[in-house]
Amino acid sequence: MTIPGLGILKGLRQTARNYWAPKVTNQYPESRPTMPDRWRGRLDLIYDPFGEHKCEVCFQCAQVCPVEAIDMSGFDSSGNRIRYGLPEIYDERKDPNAYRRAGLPAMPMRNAARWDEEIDTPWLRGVIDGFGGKPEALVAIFSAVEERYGYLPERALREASERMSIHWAQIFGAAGLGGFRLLPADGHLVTICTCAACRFAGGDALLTALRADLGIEPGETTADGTITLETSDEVAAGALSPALRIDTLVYGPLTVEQGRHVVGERRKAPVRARSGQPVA
Amino acid sequence: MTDSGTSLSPQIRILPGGDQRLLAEIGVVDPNSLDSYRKAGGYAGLRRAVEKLGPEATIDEVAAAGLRGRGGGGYPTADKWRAARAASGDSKVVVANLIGADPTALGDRALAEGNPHLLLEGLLVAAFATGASDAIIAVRRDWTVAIERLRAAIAEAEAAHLAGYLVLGTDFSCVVRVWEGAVALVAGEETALLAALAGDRGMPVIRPPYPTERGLGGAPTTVQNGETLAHAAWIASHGAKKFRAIGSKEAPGTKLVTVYGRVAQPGLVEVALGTPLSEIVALAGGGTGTTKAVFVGGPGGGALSADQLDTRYDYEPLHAAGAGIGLGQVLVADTDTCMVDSARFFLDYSAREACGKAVPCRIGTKRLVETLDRILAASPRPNDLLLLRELSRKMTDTALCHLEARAPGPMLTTLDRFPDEYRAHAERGECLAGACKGSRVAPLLAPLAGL
Amino acid sequence: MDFSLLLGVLRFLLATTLILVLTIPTAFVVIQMELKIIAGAQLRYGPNRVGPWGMFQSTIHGFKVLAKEDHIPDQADRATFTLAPWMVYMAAAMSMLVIPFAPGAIAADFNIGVVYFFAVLGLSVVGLLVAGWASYNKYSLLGGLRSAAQMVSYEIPLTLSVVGVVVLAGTLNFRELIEWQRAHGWMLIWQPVALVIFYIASLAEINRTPFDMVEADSELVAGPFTEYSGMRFGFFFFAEYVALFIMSGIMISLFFGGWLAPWPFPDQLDGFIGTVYGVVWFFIKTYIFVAIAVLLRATLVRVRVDQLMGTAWKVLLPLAMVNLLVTAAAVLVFKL
Repeated sequence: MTIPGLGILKGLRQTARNYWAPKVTNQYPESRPTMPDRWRGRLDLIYDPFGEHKCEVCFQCAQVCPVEAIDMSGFDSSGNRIRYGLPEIYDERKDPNAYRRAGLPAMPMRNAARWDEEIDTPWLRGVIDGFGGKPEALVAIFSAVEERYGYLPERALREASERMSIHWAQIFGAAGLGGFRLLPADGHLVTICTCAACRFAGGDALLTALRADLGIEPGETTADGTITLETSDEVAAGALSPALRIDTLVYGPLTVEQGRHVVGERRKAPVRARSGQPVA
Repeated sequence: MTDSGTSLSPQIRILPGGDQRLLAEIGVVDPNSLDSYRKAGGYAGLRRAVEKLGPEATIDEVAAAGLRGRGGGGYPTADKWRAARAASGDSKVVVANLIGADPTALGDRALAEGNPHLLLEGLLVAAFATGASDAIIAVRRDWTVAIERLRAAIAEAEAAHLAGYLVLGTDFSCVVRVWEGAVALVAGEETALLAALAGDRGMPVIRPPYPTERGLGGAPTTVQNGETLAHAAWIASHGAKKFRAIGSKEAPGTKLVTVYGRVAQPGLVEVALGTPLSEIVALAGGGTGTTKAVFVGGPGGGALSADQLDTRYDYEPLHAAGAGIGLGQVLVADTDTCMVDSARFFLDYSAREACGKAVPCRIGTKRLVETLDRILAASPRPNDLLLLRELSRKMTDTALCHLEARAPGPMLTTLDRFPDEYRAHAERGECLAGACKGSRVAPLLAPLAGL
Repeated sequence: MDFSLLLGVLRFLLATTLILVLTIPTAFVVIQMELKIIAGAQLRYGPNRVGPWGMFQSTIHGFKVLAKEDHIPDQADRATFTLAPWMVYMAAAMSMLVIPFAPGAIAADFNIGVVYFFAVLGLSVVGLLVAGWASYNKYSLLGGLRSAAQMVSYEIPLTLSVVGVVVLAGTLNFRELIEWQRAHGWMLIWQPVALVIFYIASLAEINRTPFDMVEADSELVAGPFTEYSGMRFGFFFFAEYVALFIMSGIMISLFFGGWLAPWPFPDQLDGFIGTVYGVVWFFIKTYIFVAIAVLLRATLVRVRVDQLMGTAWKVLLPLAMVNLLVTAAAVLVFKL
């Protein structure tokens, strides 16, 4: 037989007992919990309702992390999949999940074998020490490396980070916004200027013609590896618009015919760096 | 004598005409020789400032001349110097911004290559007035000729005790160095430039505190556009009254303007502020074809239609018309230019050059480009035109730097002044200018052309 | 110059001031008890940083509440909005006047003390209604109406159960009620049913769990108090806890002998010592019941509003009436 009120009394007995029982609260900060050695707090990226990462790879978390715990990867604006963080990846629609859900193949990683290339570490150390290892000299160091290799190899950036004790997120950030190349370019680098002056002077026609001629899109290399095509706003053609730059020399103003001609000519010549030395 | 000789890089073409003050000596003065500069009256300004005027009076002179920053903001230079002078700190810095954020603007490059001592003198005058002991000239690393000549000029000046320690025998010391920079469009924003100078990624920070209060390494820093410094040197030698002789009342003096686009002779020209735009275009040989619009101020400016060409080239009139002075870019477009496509181009440029720090800028510019792509593809969403305006307003309201605030400028002004083109594209996919035939980049998932 | 009258007036003023002042520390103590007991029942420490063993937590809460922004909704009726917390608080404070703390320590020794008490208690219903209406918020209004309905419904079994006690003791004076209990033994032996009804009804009357639908934190926001902030809300908050104290005090006065000490101890002492002795026992007994009420809050599940009203009208009221009938009959028959 159920006696009314008995349940209440039982409950009261339990709470009263609890009152005298030892408490389970951890009195932080007097007593800190001990974490096991291999404990890892995991960073999980959030997905939006459409299944895409909300992360836009704006790079700021990596740059500000005091223990350099964050690595990032994504696509650069030429559509190349870069690992370990190329900063100007603003196009979240190139997120691999977006591609996957659209049924499209993810963009292949260009020059996959070369991102881990060996570099001349003693030379680089000399360059860095020559500048006193100061962060203000970062651009100058990058210039020297780019002069020698034609781009900034990842190994070089990591070495710079270690040597100068700067987060390599910061190194990448500075490199990314500075117009340095982070991928090697096979063969001659043909950069077509897309600044306002060149475009309004007919630079588009030049780009279209060269794309058709070489059969590649900007960001790609021809099949024989002699020409890599790119566009840039920073060719600084000025009065030479419309212009293009092959390696380090700016040619302009060019008509479509002239442009084709000069590219065809340079294609046969060996590649040289800014200082005139052959690229390593 | 440097390897590059005395001529300017072929990228720079200086047009005759206009009211030449800064450009007057280019071609006359040997950029590699200090003596040649001094013979033409160079360093008289610095001498006058250091030996006769003193820092306060120098600032007063610049204030009396009404010099305004030529980097696009038009901020009164004397006020900036006064703020830096009043700031507390032992080691102050002056930075000459020659990064030339927009590569189409040739003014700073012409000065750096053609008359580096003028820039140096202006920089030293600024350093003296603000009490700075360090000066940095931030130059774009592509301008190899300019860098060479500037370095040589600094060496010569130091040897002649015009720079470096104990300038002209006084206790004013200012060590000048050249910093080769690699920054994007955002270099026009002074805090971004200072971040890059410190080795960081060049992104702006919230202001206040302004760099004149706390800048490079915590020291009060005055960042000044190269052309502004050149004008300051001119004022120091010729006096405030002469400076005010030409130009408008609110903005005296001259400005280096780069005219390009559909003109007969694109190039660099120096004009008095207040000159009507039509005159400026005429100096470049006039428009080829029928001029439809003029984009004044680059990607952060705006479009003026052909019947507004009598607008005076001055800070306030241009601002009222929705444009801006910027770095002195004047782009002439004719009737074969599609306004929607041009707007998309400028927005795309801003999107690609954005540093990525502020969310409304980073994503907003991209969304605006996508919206324009939809319009160009004749498949707009019902509220796309409303979206253009709303998003632009939001970006401007919450902008971290002026690049973000002014990025929608070209699009909004073309939308205001050429709505038929937008409508034609959106409704019928028809380009009223007859220009859009496969020359623009395909929208959405295809990779953008350009790094 | 009638000194006795003057003295009486002075004494009254002093007593009322003391009562008013006493409400605040009482509220603090009760709130602190609530924080600690519920924490203990939930296997946690409760506040233990502010002061030794967290003693001053509720005091600091009081000060914090003073510092908050005083916001009145734009379209609220300012006069009534300001009046409402005052009414509720005054109901609690005024009813404290008749609580028998000790033989000589009753602020106002009315002959109709019981009636006065329950009459004044009804003022808080008005206060809640006014609060709900003056907020210009339909949810507050609904909350106020519900609260009024609940309180009004439970007042009836509450007072009816006390009528049985009064009939038995033959007086409406609290002091004489306790005197009767001293002579005849504590009332709980004589009126156990009335005790149960009174206890349940009193919990419902002061909106304590399990009957706190009104301000249930996950229900109608804060019920009629939604728009109140800062000290205005503080008034309501304090009034509730003071009411808990008062109800417990009244209950022990009616059923558990008031200031009388339990069996092994002498009932009452004389003189000043007697007053202190009585006050101490009064407080001990009151706080025991406050603690029980708080523990009930930690234990019991909130009842639904229809179950709430159902209990009042369909269970407690008939029970109270039956109890009254039986008590009256017994008095008549046994000439008690």
